Amino acid sequence: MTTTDSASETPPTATQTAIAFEQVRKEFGKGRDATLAVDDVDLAIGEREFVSLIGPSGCGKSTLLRLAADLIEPSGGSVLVKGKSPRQARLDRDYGFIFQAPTLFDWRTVWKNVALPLEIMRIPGMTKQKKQDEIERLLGMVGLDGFEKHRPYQLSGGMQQRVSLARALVFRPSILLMDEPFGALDEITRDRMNLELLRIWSETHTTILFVTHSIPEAVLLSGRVVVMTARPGRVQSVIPIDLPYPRTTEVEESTRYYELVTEVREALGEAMAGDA
Amino acid sequence: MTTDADPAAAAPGAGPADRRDWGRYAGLIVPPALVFVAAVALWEAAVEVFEIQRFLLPRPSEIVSLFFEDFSRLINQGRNTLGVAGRGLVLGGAIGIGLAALSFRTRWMAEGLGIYAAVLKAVPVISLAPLTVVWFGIEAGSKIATVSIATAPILFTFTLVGLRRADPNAQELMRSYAAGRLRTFWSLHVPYALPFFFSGLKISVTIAMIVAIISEYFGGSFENLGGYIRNEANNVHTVEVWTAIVMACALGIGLYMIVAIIDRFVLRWHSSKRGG
Ligand SMILES: Nc1ncnc2c1ncn2[C@@H]1O[C@H](COP(=O)(O)OP(=O)(O)O)[C@@H](O)[C@H]1O
Ligand SMILES: [Mg+2]
Repeated sequence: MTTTDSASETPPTATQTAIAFEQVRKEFGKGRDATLAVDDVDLAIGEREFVSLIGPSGCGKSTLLRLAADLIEPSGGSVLVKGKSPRQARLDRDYGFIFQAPTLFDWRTVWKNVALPLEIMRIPGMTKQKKQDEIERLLGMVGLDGFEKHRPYQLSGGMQQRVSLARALVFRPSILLMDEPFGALDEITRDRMNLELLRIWSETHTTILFVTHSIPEAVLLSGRVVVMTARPGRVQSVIPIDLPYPRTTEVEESTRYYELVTEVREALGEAMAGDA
Repeated sequence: MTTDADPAAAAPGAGPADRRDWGRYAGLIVPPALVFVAAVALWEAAVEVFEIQRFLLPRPSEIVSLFFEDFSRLINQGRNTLGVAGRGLVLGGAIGIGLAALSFRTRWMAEGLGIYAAVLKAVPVISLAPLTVVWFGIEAGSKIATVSIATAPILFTFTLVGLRRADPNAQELMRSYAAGRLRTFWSLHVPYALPFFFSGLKISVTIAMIVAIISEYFGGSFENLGGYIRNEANNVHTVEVWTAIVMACALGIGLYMIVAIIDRFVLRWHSSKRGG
């Protein structure tokens, strides 16, 4: 009990590496039309860490996420997920991917959308009753009790993204890869989603690699912020965010928070200047 | 038979009025109904006033009364015609849908087959009737084959477009779950294809009826609408011909309505059916 508590209240220490990028290079296309999307990326994300990727549009943030998810393959270097190839990690269902668009299935109810991964994965020992309890618990966790029978198109954008989050959590992946998940939401909804994500992160002990365009969001959420440069995408700097967890909106009023936002903003400015 | 309907334009989004919008429905039904009644009345009056001969243009009232007198025979013949149209449609559908399902992932296959589908849609398939008679005999077999040749390319094209329309993000989501091909096909591609399939089916049922009747008209048994029309027309029994035409129209419209209702029921979740 005590170990669990301390784990959720203090910044998780990286005991083991969840995701490791080593000398990673990714080129799209061939010959003259080839685009070097990312090059020379070295980055290790520890277990239970919350790391954000931030950088100018087109700098390869999504590419890194998609490499880790085995949706694309690197042109050079190596990517390891929990010490395995991304392909093996995908087959082992080690990660959940969350897109900017909620990507829900309109022909399924909210409940059935969340149940989809379980239907596909047929996890051993997952009885019908356990499945029901789990979905119920998760819908409660993301604040969607009472919406089980709704269809995705009957929900607001924020609620749809909550369904998508519940769907990613339902098979208990140890890693969440989130590609600008709240980028399409209004600011008020986004703030609330951020706090909920922090709570869920501490409750579920997952590792989160999070892509964002928003500096305040990156600082509020992350243990480390990775700033990237464009063309080709490289890691410009890694900024540790030494604000104590659990964080609330009050964090945003502290001077340290303000300093860190400034630091990230300056790093980002340098990254953009190098680009021009 | 030719149809240059464009599946992309015909399928979703172009749905009819909102279910609850009775005012608009009345607006759709009442004016054409008035036109119909007026036209029939005019027809009846014209036959009377200009003393048009019966064998050229009988009175509508005479057609209607003979229609009900001969109803049991007409319904029997109609059943046989429906059987040919239905079986041809099922066979054509199996071929069209089967080929679409096999080829939609492979570009060169889909495009290679697509060209032949386009050619077949442009060919007046009924001109192939003499060939199918040589191959399958003068009775139902050849007529079923002709209906299949007419409908398979339509259902192929529509189904293919739908299968290929599946959201790329959702496809990656299925990949991230390490879902098998069959699972992804049923859970993702089929729901995307359904609205397109139904649009194709609505066109196909009409064409199946037309092709069935014309092939029957070309030869074989008299115990169907096309054969009956041939026989009665040869004897200049114009009123009898008209009763068969009325039955053919009734069956054709009925079949179309059944498909339209199933479409509406099955695809309640689809945006084109939600109104508002
Ligand atoms: N499938 C692809 N084919 C060709 N180029 C791509 C592809 N995906 C990404 N790119 C290119 O790689 C670069 C990085 O893209 P991306 O990772 O999406 O950037 P970000 O997510 O940081 O905005 C961009 O220049 C983009 O155009
Ligand atoms: Mg991106």
